[in-house]
Amino acid sequence: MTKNVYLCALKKHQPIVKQFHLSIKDFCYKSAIAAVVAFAVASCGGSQIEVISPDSEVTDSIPAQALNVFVENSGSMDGYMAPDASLTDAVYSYVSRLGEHADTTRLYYINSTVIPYGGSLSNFIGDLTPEAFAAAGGNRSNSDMAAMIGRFLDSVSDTTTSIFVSDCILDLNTTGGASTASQLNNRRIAISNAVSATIKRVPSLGIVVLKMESPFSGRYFYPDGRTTTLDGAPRPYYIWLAGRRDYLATLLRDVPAENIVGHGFREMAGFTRPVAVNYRVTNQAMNGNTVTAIGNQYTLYISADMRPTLQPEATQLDTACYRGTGLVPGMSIKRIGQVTNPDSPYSVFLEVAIDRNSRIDQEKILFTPPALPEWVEQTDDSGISDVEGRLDRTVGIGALLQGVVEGFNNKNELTDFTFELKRK
Amino acid sequence: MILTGIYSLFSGLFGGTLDSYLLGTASALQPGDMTWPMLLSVLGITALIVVLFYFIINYPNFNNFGSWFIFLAINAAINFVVGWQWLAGHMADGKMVSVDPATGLHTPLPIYENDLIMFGVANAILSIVLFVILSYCVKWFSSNCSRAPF
Amino acid sequence: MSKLFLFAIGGTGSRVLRSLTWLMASGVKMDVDEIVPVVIDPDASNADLTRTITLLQNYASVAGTQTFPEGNPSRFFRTGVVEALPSFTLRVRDTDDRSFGRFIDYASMSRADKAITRMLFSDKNLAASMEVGFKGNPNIGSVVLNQIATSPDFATLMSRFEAGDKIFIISSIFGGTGASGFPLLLKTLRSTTAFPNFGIINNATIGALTVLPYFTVFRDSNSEIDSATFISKTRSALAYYENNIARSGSINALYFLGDEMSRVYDNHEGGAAQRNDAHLIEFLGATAIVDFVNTVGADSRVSKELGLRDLKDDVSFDSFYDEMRRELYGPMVQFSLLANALLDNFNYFSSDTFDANNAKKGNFSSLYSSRFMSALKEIASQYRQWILEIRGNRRSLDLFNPEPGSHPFDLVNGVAPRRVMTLASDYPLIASRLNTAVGKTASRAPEARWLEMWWRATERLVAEKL
Repeated sequence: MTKNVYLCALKKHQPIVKQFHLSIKDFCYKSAIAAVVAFAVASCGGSQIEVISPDSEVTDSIPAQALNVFVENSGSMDGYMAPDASLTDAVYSYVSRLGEHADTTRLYYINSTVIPYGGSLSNFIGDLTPEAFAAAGGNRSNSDMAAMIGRFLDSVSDTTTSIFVSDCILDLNTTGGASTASQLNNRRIAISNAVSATIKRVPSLGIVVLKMESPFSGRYFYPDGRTTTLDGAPRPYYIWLAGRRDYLATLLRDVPAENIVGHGFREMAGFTRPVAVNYRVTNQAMNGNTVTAIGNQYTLYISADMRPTLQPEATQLDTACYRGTGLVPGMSIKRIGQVTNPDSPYSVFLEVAIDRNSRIDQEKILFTPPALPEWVEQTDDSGISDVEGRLDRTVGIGALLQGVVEGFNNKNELTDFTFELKRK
Repeated sequence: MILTGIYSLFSGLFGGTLDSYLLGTASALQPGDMTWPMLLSVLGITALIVVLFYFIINYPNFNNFGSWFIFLAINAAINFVVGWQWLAGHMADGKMVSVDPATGLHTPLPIYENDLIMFGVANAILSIVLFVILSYCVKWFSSNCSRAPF
Repeated sequence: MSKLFLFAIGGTGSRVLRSLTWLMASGVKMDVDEIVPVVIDPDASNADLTRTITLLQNYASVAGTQTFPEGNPSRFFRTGVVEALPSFTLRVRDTDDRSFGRFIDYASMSRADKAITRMLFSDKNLAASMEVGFKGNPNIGSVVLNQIATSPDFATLMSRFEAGDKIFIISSIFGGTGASGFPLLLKTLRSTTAFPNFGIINNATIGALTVLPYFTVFRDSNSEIDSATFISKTRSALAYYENNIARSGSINALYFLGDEMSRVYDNHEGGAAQRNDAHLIEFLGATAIVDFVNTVGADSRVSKELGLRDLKDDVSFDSFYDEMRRELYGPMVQFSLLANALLDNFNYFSSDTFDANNAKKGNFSSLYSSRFMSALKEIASQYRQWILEIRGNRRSLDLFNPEPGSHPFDLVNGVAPRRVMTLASDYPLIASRLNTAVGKTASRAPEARWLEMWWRATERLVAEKL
């Protein structure tokens, strides 16, 4: 019925009908044109980019490793062997676990000389006593830390990873002519040279220094010869690991320092030459390299195995340590997280946002951690003040680790993630 | 690919996340570009309705704007339901999940029932545009309805 | 261009001519290109005559728009109609305002002439007014109509006669004008030398239909028409025809038609009141004309009667023998579909919804307000009127449902429409077939294309459904 009325109306008012007719027609034509334009715009893309990252798979196989364990048997270490100390337990458990990942484990005392220990690990641990230290021999009164580190590094090869356990107190002779600064400088250079020399033999050298803590009961030696007795005071000691960095990364992953018996682990520092790590750039679904803009930005994920950089976890997760080159101005790192999935080959993920309208180009994200972690400076001590107020400090540790840094002589980023963006 | 992203034009309606999901870049369980099958279904259904209107039913009394508009509306309704229910099926199947980069576990994407309905609306709009275009392409060949809509 | 000069004498002539118009409009096959209808009836106000003339004029108006290029199979209005004389009428002069006695100038006759005149004509004859014809008095008509042979109208008419043209004369044997006019006209055509082309005319193929009495009129003492005299007049006339027409071989085909006189009409001497409903006999008479143009040649000498398969009160298509049914059925059903569509569904077919009107197809939109269309609608209206009349008469020609309304295929009596596997039915089906047909038309002019479209579509529909 309505239709009939409509038709009647059309016939009675012909001119109006004509206008009405045309306007609907016009509307439909415009709709069709708009649709064609929309299709054209759609065909030009604008909502998707493609991320192309090079195949970064590092597949070097790690040769079978021997594990050398050096424990400093200087007199200054005697206080860590007290019954209430945790060092022996920590070293025993840690070395035991590490030994599971090595073909052989060789044990040594070390001071002015390297003294092999012929027994088993359990015996060795059992013999970590002041008496046994003394019986082992060597110069226990003066310990040249640089020389010890040199000898420790000498033992490292592509197939040998070494562990060095020491309080790392630099034996500074303040009574002689040489100034403290000069002595620190000399030690630093010596260590630097030792590291450089080792890198020549083992290009993939990595050094990890774990700052540990144990109750200390015994005499504490000041650099100027003074001594004081501490009873159960928490004191730092260090476990150095040196070897192929990929092997070290494996050890760090499989034998986390946090799990060392006695909970003596406090801090960590890692050193190596710049390294190419495994990484993958994907969309949010992590199922491909096509990224769709949501709102005004593209979001992509970089999953990376940062363990070969030997950096502490906090450094790996610190957005301040990552930066782009600026080729894609609208890029920012929104979030860095730790990969907890045990099946994942990666250790961290970076959530990267790119403005939809940003220039799209090839981009590189650089990983540039500080040369030395902050804790090193906070732990370094000159040895002048009383130790009681500075129990968590170690005389000369800063110089030692600075020497390591200089030995690696890194000028640029430790690693990077390169990828190319293309509009689809 | 031409026409890729046609649905993205409507992402204001149903949200960028669903847009990304359709393109296969939001969910680990939906890696393909769904927009093509969607577009093909819209095209298929619309072409079917157009052929039905102009050639199979081809009813002489339907040769006017009103009748044509009813078919346009039916087509839009069908495409609305198809689009909506297609994605509702995905939602029911638990495909609308992202992967937590940290844990590797699935977490629900922020896509809601309302987004699916709005996608149905987008599908309907698209079908309307296609219906108009296809109508103008084929109406000349219809024996009884070459003046529909005009 | 072969022509048929068709002389329709008296009221019966007009009514047969009316029926013939439907056969021509329907496209019943006729082996002649044009007809030249000539009405001879002194009763110019005869309602049967006036509506036939109007119909013929409308027919001519429509047929004049039709062109038939090669490939146009349409037979609607294919046979042209020539209005050779104004209103198709051969005027009979000096009959308007005078009595027969005055016409023959009885008063100034000699006694001897008067005596012989009184032997031939009664006083009532002499006093009879001729304004409404000869009122069943052939003795009057034969005198008055004698003037036709020398009339200017006749000269004008016959000057158009050409070799190959034919002549047909329709008359009733029991009336006044027809009974007297036919022998007179035939004699004139065969013997005249008054025209330059008299040789062609004298030797032309001539046919005639003589309608025997098929109705009676109520007795009226004031009327000069008395149907009791029909039979006696007929008997006399038949004897005359046998002796002077059939035996002399002056006619090529003589058709006789008659029926039981079962229908009684009101007694009107003539004038506007003489408006008789169409009758089966007139329709059958029209088929005689079709038979004549299709079968009779110059060498023929035949007398024909028409038989029906069965004689019932209601004559339908099934009453006709096969050949006649074949000739009539298709075209008449097609034309009925067209006429009903114009009368019952014109709004649809003239609307934009009807796709054939599309500018890219038939482009007919402007046609629906044209003179062509108004003439066609008038013809359709008169056709329905004719269908109603002839259906309601006795004996009834009950071919079609006169008003099928929205079910156009409920049309032919005794024929149930077959089912066609389409979604559309009724008028939408017709529209669909028209929309298909319009693309196949060969005609260019919209009027011709429109009717060609209808011919093609209805031809298919009749084959499919009826």
